[in-house]
Amino acid sequence: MNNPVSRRLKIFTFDPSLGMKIETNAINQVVAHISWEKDLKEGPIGEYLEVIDYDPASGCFYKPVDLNNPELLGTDGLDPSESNPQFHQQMVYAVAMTTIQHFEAALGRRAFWADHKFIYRGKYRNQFVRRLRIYPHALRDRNAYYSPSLKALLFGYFPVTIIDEHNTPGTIVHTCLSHDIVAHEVTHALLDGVHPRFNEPTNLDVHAFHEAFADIVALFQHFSYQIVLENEIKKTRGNLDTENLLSQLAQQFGQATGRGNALRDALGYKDDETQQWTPREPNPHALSEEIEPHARGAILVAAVFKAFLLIYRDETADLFRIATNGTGVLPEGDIHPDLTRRLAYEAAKCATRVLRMCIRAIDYCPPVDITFGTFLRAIITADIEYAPEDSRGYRIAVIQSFRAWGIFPSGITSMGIDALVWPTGDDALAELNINPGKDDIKGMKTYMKNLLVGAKEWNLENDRYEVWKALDPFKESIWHWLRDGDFYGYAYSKIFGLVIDNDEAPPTVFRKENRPTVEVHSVRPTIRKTLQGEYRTDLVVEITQRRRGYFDKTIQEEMDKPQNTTFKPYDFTFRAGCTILIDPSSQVIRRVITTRGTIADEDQLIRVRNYLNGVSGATGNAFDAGLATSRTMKGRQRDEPFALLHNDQNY
Amino acid sequence: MPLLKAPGNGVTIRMYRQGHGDCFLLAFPQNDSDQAYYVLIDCGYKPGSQNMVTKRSKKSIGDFVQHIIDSTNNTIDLMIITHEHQDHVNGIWKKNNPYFGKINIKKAWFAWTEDPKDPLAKKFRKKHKDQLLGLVSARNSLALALGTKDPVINRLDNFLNLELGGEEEAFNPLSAAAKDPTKSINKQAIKLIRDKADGNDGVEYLNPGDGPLSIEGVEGVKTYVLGPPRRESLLVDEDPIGKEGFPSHRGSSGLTFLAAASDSNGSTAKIPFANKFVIPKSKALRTKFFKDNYGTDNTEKLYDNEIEIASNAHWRRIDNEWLFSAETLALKLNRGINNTSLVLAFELQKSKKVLLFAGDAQRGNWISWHKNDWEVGDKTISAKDLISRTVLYKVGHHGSHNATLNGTVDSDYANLSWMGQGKYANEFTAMITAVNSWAMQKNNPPWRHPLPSIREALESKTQGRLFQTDMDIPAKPDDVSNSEWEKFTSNCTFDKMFFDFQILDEC
Repeated sequence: MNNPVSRRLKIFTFDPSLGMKIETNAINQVVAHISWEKDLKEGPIGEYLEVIDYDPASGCFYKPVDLNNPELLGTDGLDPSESNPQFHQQMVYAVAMTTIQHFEAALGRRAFWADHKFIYRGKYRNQFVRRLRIYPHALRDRNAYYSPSLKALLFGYFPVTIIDEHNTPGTIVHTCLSHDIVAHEVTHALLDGVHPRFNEPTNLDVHAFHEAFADIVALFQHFSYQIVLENEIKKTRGNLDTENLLSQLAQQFGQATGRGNALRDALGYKDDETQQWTPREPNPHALSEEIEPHARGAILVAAVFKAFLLIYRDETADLFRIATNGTGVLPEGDIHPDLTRRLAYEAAKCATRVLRMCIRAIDYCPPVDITFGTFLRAIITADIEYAPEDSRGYRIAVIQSFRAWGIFPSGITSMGIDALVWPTGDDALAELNINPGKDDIKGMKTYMKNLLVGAKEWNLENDRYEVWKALDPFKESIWHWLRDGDFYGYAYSKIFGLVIDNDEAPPTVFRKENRPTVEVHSVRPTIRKTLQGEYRTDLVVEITQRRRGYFDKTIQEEMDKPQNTTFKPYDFTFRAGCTILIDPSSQVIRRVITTRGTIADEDQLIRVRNYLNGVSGATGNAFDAGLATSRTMKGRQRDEPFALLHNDQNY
Repeated sequence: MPLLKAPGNGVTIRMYRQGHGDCFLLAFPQNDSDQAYYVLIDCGYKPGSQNMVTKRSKKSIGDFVQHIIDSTNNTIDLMIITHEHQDHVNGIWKKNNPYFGKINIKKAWFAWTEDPKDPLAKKFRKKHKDQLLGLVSARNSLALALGTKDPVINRLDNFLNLELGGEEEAFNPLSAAAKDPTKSINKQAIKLIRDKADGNDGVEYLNPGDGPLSIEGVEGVKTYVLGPPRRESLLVDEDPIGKEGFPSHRGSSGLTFLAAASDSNGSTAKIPFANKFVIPKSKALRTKFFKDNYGTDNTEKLYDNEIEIASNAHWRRIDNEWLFSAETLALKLNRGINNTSLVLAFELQKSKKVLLFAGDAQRGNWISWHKNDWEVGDKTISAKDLISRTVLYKVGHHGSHNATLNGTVDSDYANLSWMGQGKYANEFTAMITAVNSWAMQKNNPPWRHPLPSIREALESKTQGRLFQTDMDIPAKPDDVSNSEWEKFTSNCTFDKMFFDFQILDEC
């Protein structure tokens, strides 16, 4: 017998608060369709996730739900309920799986969680983490976070203490019942699986990017629920620029923490004076005014959402013309149900496209030091690979919206598509005046062919652990290629922005066997279907180099004196490197994505030092705001970058 | 030792250098007496910081209190306590021979939050006490799990000490105050001052908008009260209290962090779900599902490339994770008390110059100031107008982040740009009470007091007229002329125990 295609599970569409209002009660719950997991166990524990319901503050565990129970199979799972923890388990599983599926569909490969890294017998080790763990009731706090060290999501719950039109004191808010909070947290984990160094703040955008990206995924996931989409299209008469639930995140949490409205809104805000919802106009100077990660991240979210609206408006202009006989003015009252359905279809299509543009882009980001501007380049490059002909102007819409919000990459001379797109390997070689002859190219390809033997063999059906194991040796062979390879490997290291020559690297750069170290962090295979239906295989490789950084400029200069070999304990690690995309079948280097400077770049080192020293401003509390902690600080610091970021504190 | 002298017209401000904390002595001229009218604002320090003020600091708080006694002839006309934190009040009381035991105190001003009869203040104090007790329990549970040397514990201890007071560097979980915060050394200090002033019927609790207050016998100065705000949500920006009040041990209150943290033996912990879903921890860990997927054993499997992480790996457990919420709670609690700071503007009558003493007010306090105005005769004085005439700013909370707001003259909330405008700009001076080396070296993570960006903003706005506890003499900026600098320094006395700064009440 064939397995079912999908498992149908009921969830709260947003969170329990919608069921408390007559206007939204009808869209309070939806049925999510999750790919059928054959071996799903109680918990639920599946291929990607394990829900372990431990509530340490209450000193107890909650019985795990068994979604294969025939009764639950027949009823699309448990009914949404705040008081049944097993429904909570079902909901976190369903929402997190939905997000994972969006990721895999966009990236064209299986999702991996970040490796468990530790030191054993004096050596760094990586271990494969098959499942992200989810603790739905881990904390008694207005908080939920992804813990990179536990490879787990921790959700909190808290009693409401406010009494107002939205809140009843004494009722419990469970953050794990917020669709948006779950989608947001699992996105943090997915992004960490691709870019573990995106937790290392080296500029104001890094933390903000993590937050923004998680919000973007959560927001656009709303569009996968048709019933909500149609409801909001109907309510706004197809004008999604006006206040609607699709653009808002975490209603219940926002209300229970005294905001009176959703935690975040990509489109507008509640004016303090008038108490009215007010649209937020693009502000090209906003980035220079905001340093707090969520506020800054909100700018990127607004830019992406605006791009979606531009596309949606363009794609539906014909429908509005048809519906209004060309006047563009809709008659008073409700719009025709057929129009609602058609608009909802278009909105879902555009939203999927924009979401996938964003997710695909993460394979086209440098391994460290992400900025919003670099992300724009990544979106454009990824989309060109996906849809070489952009007849619908999607890329233009993204650029237009980003520009309106003042987001642009540093060091480019134009906001045109050709300037934004990352160079191909050939472009980069030509730029360095390295022009290999025909035979040279042939030699290069043969070399790489040998290097990449076996790289084509994976597909989406492979066991993730087998893929993970098969990839490990490539890190080593690529490392050898760059370091000890022939002339071409050497030339490539140049275009990749790596410093291989001992003479060219300042003394503080980490070395091994007297040469600057090159660390190949990850090799990921992707198989993508382009818009034209063609399949493309790419190998995404991330390479970085490390250097000792000191908070004090004079110490840095002292340590960087020529021939110096003894170093004081350093305060921070400065990294530079690149991401490259290689087509293993044609041995073509498809894209080269480099950080802003090489590891020898003094200006970049100074920039990072200034940032860590709090020169660009401070966020946080009244004690340690704005200061990065030196690596030399004694004692174990608790390293939970998202725990404090997510806490409900704004002052 | 000579008495502190007031100028014929104006005020002398003495900033003591007792450590990382506040202690200011102000001397105003009296109408009918040669002796000055003495106002003392706070008296405290962070233990340990007193040894790092200068390279060879040897003075203890006792020496400073003796100095105050000698400078005032043992009589403080008006004692002002800004708020109840260790670094503002621990130089006042101790168990034997309290520092202020023999000092006469004629009057005392406190913020409304200290008023025993104010219902909102009562609620606030009750909540503070409950939260402190919970925090102490959470700290003790965490200390059991992590050991007392863990940086997280050190940090918590530091915050607890700020709330409870005293002169020990280490936190003592067995102290009377840790068991009952109403017995804290901070509270004793407040009580001592209150009792002394009460003997003269001299206790006043001030509300924002109060004033202009006159001081009997001192013609030259009027006082305006800017904070703390009466809106509870501004004082503590979490858990705004509705009509129900803060839930006591009924209903869902058993489901808060504090309820669980205070419940040391775990026997009465409330559970948010019905019993049919619940398996107690001890029982659960004997079932196959939780043994396999959460685990109990602590042996790490040997590293092997062929092995995935174990499903019961000990490093993925969360038995203590929830207790780390204590850290944020401690920060919020600290911020809440900082925001109860009494914020006063002293206005010199002839020149209309203003001295702004911000206590440790943080954002929640600052953003309420502009809502005040005062009717004086037929004129209305706005907070913005008052603040624009500031010539002396006692910088909030050691110059930390969020305790001096950034903004422009046009911003709708009070900020640094509002101060020292027009003709008052040339005289604008600021005082930071911070021992930076102590803050940076003795705390983990380091305390950025003052925050470099705030210090820089102040240096530029004051053109170098900036005092800091641990800096012997302010440095003259290159772009300030010698004569201008001399005009400033001629009003200063730099001593290893204090700075005196004179402001004359003339235009």
